[in-house]
Amino acid sequence: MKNKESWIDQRFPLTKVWNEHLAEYYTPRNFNFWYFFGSLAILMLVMQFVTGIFLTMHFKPDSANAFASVEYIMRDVEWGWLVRYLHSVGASAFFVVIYLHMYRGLLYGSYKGPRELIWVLGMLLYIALMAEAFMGYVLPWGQMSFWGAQVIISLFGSVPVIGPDLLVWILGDYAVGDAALNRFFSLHVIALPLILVVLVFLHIVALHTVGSNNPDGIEIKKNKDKDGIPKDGIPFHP
Amino acid sequence: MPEQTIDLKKRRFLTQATSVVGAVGVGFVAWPFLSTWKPSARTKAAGAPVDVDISKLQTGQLVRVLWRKKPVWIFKRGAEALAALESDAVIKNLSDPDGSGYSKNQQPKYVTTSYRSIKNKEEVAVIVAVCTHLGCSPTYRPEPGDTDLGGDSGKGGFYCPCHGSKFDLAGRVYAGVPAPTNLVIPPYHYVSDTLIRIGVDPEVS
Repeated sequence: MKNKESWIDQRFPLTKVWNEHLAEYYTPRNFNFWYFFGSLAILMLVMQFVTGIFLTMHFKPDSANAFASVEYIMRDVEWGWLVRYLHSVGASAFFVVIYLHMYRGLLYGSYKGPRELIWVLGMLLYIALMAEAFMGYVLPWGQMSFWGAQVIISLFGSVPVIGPDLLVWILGDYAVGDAALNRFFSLHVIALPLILVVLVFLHIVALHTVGSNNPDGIEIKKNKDKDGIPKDGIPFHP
Repeated sequence: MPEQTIDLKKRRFLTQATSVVGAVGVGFVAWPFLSTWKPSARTKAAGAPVDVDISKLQTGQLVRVLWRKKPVWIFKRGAEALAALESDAVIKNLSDPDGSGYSKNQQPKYVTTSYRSIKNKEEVAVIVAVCTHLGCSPTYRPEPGDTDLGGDSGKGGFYCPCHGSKFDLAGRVYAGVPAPTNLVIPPYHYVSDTLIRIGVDPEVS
């Protein structure tokens, strides 16, 4: 086992990454529960991925079949109701977690220097997440989905000068229809999840470069012992 | 603060206990997800038993019905064809004539050995029309003397056009062809004298 690890480590920094970001990543020891929501957000992201992958196996992105395929998932697919509810209720739970995560940032000034980029990346994540959720909301193609799409996409119609043309371009039609449903499906299951994963990666890299903030605003990296380990830090949190 | 020693035994126990709880949790989470791949209620409904009226089936005639998206043959054999199924001329060509070898699970227990049909209804055969080699559908060659099925000495049967597998008129596979086992007999029973229900075993088997 030891040999195998070194074999991999000679070719890929596995142990290094593991230690830097988990086993020997030091977080301030005065964390409180407000600091749970970042990792909970990752948990929600993973859950949305898993449930989404399984829903995609049964969903049909076609304006004639979409609603029926959702009914099929709810009634005929074994455990399909659970997977779909995990995905739809999970999306709401994701936003609850994200809002608490953002509130923590505001409460303790986690957006201030040197963490401005973490905040900016987080805001981009928030926008991407709203787009992802909106397009997921449209997919069941019920009344709420249709009119939700109608209203939200109409916002683009109020852009000066190019608004009406932009609207038709986004919808691929003169009204919300099959073309919009089909492209929203593609964006929802491929494009936006990829963007979210890349942004989460950048968000975490930026965080681990400067380290976490804490309720007292102490920079633990400024107070290290002789081995270079932050005195006020604990590794492998929690 | 009293001096602390690390109790490795306790630590190992806690690690293992946590791993076990985690594995059980993963199992409980995985189960609903993996279950969504099972045939859905709609699929099961589409795979319901199929009833076939054979009152107009003539000797030598073959009808095909779909059961669980597979073609099933229902055909009537004459006395001559039935006699041939028990003759040495046919049996010497077969790889597993009494269905006790590789073909043990290719038919329900209640069908007879050489006719592979239900007792007292020997002349009517019900066979899944899917070659046991790679899933093509063999062609019906009931006439004796077919060139693909042993020429002049042949007694008729089924010939698979994909890779040349041969079967007799009871769906038993010839020796030396690609197909490894006899054709499958589906579960079926007679609702009345002329009505066959494919997909359900007889009540008393």
